[in-house]
Amino acid sequence: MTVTALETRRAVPGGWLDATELRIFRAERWLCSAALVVMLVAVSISVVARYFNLPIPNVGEFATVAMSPLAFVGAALCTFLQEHIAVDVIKLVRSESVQRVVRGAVALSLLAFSGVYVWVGYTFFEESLHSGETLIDMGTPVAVPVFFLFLGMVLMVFHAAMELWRVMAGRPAATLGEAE
Amino acid sequence: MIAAFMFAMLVLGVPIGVAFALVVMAKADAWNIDVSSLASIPYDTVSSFPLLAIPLFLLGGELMNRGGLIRQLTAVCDALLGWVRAPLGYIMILASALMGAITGSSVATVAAIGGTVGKEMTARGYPLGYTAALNASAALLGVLIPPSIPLILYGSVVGVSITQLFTASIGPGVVMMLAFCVVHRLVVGRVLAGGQELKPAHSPRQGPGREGLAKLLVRSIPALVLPILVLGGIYSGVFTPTEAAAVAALYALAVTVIGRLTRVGELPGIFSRAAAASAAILVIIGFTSIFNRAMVLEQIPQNIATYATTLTDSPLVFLLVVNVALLLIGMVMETNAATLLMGPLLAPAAAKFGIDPVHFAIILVTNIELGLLTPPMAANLYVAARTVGSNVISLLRYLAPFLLAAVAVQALITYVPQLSLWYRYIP
Repeated sequence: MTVTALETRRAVPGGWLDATELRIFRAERWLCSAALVVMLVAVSISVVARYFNLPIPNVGEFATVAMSPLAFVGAALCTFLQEHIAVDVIKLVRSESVQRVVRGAVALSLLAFSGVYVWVGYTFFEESLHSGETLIDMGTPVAVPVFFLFLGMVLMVFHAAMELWRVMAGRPAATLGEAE
Repeated sequence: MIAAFMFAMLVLGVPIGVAFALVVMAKADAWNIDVSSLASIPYDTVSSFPLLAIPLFLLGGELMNRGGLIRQLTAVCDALLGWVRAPLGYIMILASALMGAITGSSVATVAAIGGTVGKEMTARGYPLGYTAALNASAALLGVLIPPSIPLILYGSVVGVSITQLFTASIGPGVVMMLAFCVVHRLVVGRVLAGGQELKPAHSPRQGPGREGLAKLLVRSIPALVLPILVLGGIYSGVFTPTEAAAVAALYALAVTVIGRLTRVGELPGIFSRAAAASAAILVIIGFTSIFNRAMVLEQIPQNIATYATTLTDSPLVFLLVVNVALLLIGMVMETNAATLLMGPLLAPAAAKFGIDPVHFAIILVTNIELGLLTPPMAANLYVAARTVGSNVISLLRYLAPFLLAAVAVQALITYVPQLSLWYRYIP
C-alpha cells in the first residue's frame, strides 16, 4: 500500500510510448496531489468559517469534487504503479511463465473494465453536461467531477494496454524513469 | 458459476474493486442493473464528505512519519516504559496505539512503527520473526484505536454515526492493547536470550533522568498534541471526523514545515504518496459499491436476514456464525473491501436479532481486521515481514500467541456488548 515504489523503481529503456506513459504518469501524480491539496484547503476553510461564524460559503463542496480526480485518475495512477489492492497469493508462484500469464490476464481484465467505463463514463459525462446540473453550495457543474471519471478510465485503458503490450513483448512491468 | 469467476479473478490478482465491477458487468442484465448506473454509482459513492477523512488521515500519517514525529512519539514511550523488563515490546504496542490515533490505518501503522521501533528491537536482540509478529499484531490497534478507516467506511455505508463508532471502539482497543502486553510479558522470557534485551554499544539504554524526560516531553509536545487534537475535537463536538482529519493533516504539515522536520521540496513526494495510497482504497470503495447495489437490488441482505432467523432465534448463535464467517472472509479479502461488502449484507440480519448497530459494527470490523493476521490475505504479516526484514515463515512461528489473544478479545467484544457500548452507561 505504501508507495515506496515511487522511489525504488528504476528505468527500463523504452521507446516513445514508454516516454509518453511516463509523462502521463507524472501528470496523473500531479493532478492527484493537487486534488489532495484542494481537499485539505477546502475542508480547513469550512472548519474555520463555521467555528468563527465567518460569512464564507461552504467551500467544502470543492473537497468532494476533488475526490473524483483522486479516485478515478488515481485508479489510472495505481494501474501504472501496480499499487492496486489485490489478493497477491499468485505471486508466491515463482515460475516466470506463470507470472507472465497472470500479468497478461490482469492487464486484459483491467483493459476490459476500463474500456467499458470509458463508454459508460462518457455517456454519464455527456448527460451531466447537457442537463446543466450543478452542486448546491458553490454551483460547481456536476459535469466537472464526472469528467474526471471519464478521463481516469481513458488513462487506465492506456496503462492497461501498455502493460499488455509489454507482456506480449516479454518485457518487465512498467518502471519509473531514472529521472524519478 | 459467477462465484467461480470472481474467485478466479481474485486469485489471479485482479484488483479487488475491478473484479467485483466485472462480475456486475457480466451479470448486469440478470441483476437488472442499468448500464448507465455503472458510472453513477461509483461516482456518487466516492463524492461523499465522510469519505474525505480517508485521504486526509493518510496524508496526516505520511507527514507525521516523514517529519520524524513518529520517532518522537516512540522516544516518549521509551522514556516512560524504559524501567520495565523487555520494554521495547511494550513500546511497540503503545506506539502502534498512538499511531492508530493519528492515521486510522493498520497497514500504515505496521510500516511506520516497524521501520522505527522494529529496527531498535532487532538491535536489542529480539529475533526478527518475533519483532515482525509483534509489529503485525500490535498494528491491529491502528484500526481499533479511533480514528479508524474501516469504521468510517462502515458508518458511511450502513448509516451509523461515525463519532459513536469511534467512541465505541476505545474500550475494545484498550483491551486488545492490554492483551498484547500480557502476551509479550508471558513469552518474552523464551524469546530473548537470558530473558533480557541487549544494550547495544551504539545506543546505551540509560533512562533519560527526570530532567531528560522533561526535555523530551517538551520537545515532543507537537507530536503528542495531535492525537489529543483529533480525538478531543471529535468528542467535544468541535469537528466532524472528516474535519478532524483535515485539521490533523494541516497541523502535521505546519509542525513539520515550521519545525524544519522536512524540507519543503519533499512535500510533493509526501502528497503523491498519500494520494496514491488513498486512490488504491477509493478504487475499492467506488467499484465494490456497484456490487453492493446489485446485492441490495437482489434483496440478498434481506434474504440473509430471513435465512439466519429461520436457522436460529438465538442472537448468540447468530453472532458465533458471523464470527466464523467473517474470520474466513477476512482471510481472503482486503479489510476495506470486506467491510464495504459484509457491512450492508449483515447489518439487517443483526438488527433482526436485536443487536445494537454500533456494537455490531465493532464486532464486524474487529473480526475482519483479524484477517490481517491470517494468510493468505494477511497484509499486516507481509508488510511487517518486509519492513522488519524477516521472512513470513519465521514470523509465523511467533504469531500464534498474539493471534489467540486477538481471537479471545474478539470473543469478549462479541459477547460483552458493554465493552463497546460503555459510553451509554455514563450519565
